Amino acid sequence: MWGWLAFGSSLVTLALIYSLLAMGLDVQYGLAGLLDFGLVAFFAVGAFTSAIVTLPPLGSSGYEGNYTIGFGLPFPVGVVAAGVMGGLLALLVGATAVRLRGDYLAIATFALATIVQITLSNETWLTRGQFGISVIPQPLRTLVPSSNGYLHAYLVMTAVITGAGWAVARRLAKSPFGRALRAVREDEIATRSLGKQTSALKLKAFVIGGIYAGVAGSLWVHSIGGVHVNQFVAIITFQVWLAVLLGGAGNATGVVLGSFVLVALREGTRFLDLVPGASNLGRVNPTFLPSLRFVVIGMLLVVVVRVAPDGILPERRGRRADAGAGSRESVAAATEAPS
Amino acid sequence: MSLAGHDLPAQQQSDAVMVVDGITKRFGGVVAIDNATFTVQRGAITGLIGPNGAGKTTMFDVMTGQQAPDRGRIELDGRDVTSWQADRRARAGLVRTFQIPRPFLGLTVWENLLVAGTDATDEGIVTALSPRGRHPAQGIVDRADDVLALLTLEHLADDMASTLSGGQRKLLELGRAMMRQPDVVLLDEPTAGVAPRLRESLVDRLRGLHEQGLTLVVVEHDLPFVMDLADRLVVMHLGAVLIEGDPDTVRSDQRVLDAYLGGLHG
Repeated sequence: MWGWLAFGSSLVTLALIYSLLAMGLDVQYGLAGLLDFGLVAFFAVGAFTSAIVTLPPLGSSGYEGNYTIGFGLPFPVGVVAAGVMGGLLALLVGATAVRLRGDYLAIATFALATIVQITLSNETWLTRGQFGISVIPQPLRTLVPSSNGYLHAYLVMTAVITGAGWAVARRLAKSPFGRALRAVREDEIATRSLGKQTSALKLKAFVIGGIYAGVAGSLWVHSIGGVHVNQFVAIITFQVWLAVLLGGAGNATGVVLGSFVLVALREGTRFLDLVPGASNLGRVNPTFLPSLRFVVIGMLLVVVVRVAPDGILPERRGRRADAGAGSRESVAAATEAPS
Repeated sequence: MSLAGHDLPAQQQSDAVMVVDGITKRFGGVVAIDNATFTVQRGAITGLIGPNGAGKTTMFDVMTGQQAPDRGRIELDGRDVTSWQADRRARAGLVRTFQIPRPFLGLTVWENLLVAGTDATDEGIVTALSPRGRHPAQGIVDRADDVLALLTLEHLADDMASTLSGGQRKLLELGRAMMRQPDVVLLDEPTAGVAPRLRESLVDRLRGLHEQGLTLVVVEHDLPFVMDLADRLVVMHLGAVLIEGDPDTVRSDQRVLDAYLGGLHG
């Protein structure tokens, strides 16, 4: 029973971390229409940054992790540093890349993710390359000695940070900034003709996405306690894309929901062998069930996209009444005028 | 105002809000605009006319900064804006509509207007996270209300722009331009695709804006419409400015008849 609860806890933590990634991508794509196919790069940079920042200095007595550099700073510094590094990488790349037309940006960001992965793999003095870093400090570990209890505590902490990220994402989407981003998404030329500096708007959205992904990397690396370059493969980017499209691009609550659905689908299909008869098929061909799992995920995704192309929770419309408009006398007078 | 090499009367120069000075624009081997020079008078309605392919829309693109000219200068309010990007020119008071309307289809009519009316300084991230980011400024809301009423689009305020008809999209674009509180508006075929009933009211709206002191430049294929509306006409043909003057002068000019009727009249 406790084991299942702990398993559930770690899954919800994972879904919350995916939610952060999805909200980051949602600011980039859902609001600004930027095709970022390299989100995992910011996630990776955040993960390594947070690990290195929080690991104790090399040679600290009694610490047995495998790593090359450590700064021994507290976990909150790691989270902030991860966000900053994710944002800085996005700024560096975005300064030129956001001027690219949609599909070119997709190619450029995809290339970025590959470059970042190769760089992290080669810079062994920093990342230990293919060996990875292990025994990354777990924040507040001493306060919660039981390992199951710690999973729950970590879940709460992740929920608080993701919740804050959600509140910010919602505010951004509803603000004039978010509205301007959506205008850029719809028609950049028309937006520019209304006086907006569209490249600057897109760059801001791109950097915000980088910050979200960086913070997600930090939360992830401390939850699993180790980090390795091969964990940051392109499929992570596309799973986040699926979460955004499933949940509803442009709606922060929707993409959080999409992340939970994604994790539920991904993990739920592990138990396909519980379906009557399925375990027999698995006995005949051991690769059958693992393969079927991805078929089921793919089919469910197709169904959802087919039935609800705008996602589970579509983007919210900005209604006139929300602005308290339409109540003035002059308007009433104007509408009475014959047209 | 310097207009070296061109002999515009002093009166025209002093009243000009916009000067197009020797503009040439090529696309590969095609000369879309060929050394075109004319002025836009402050507070006037200027009609930019000419047969298909005369270079009218390209001229709009160059005037608004969407296309850079190969040669020549654009002046706005006495300033050389040739090197300015489209967004900077828009912030300086020059806005346009498009031949094929470009409303933000995934936004509501209301949001289309708010986007246009909000200044870039209020679109920052800090503002977004501050209490000011929760609701649009009252001034913008009021203006949007007025624009909706003026264009009789009130009942469509919460509809997605993608659901509007072609004519309604034209109106929304005009409304978006008005939200900018511009000095000069360039209208690219404002009546194309607009239902006749709506067209009349559109003409009334344009005249109303003109009476309020707005400078309008109108590209239009509907000659009776533009002859009736405009104070001045600039006729373009094969990229060059054929004649610039009041409608009566233009109407009776042989070169204009030739340009429109081609070989039939020659």
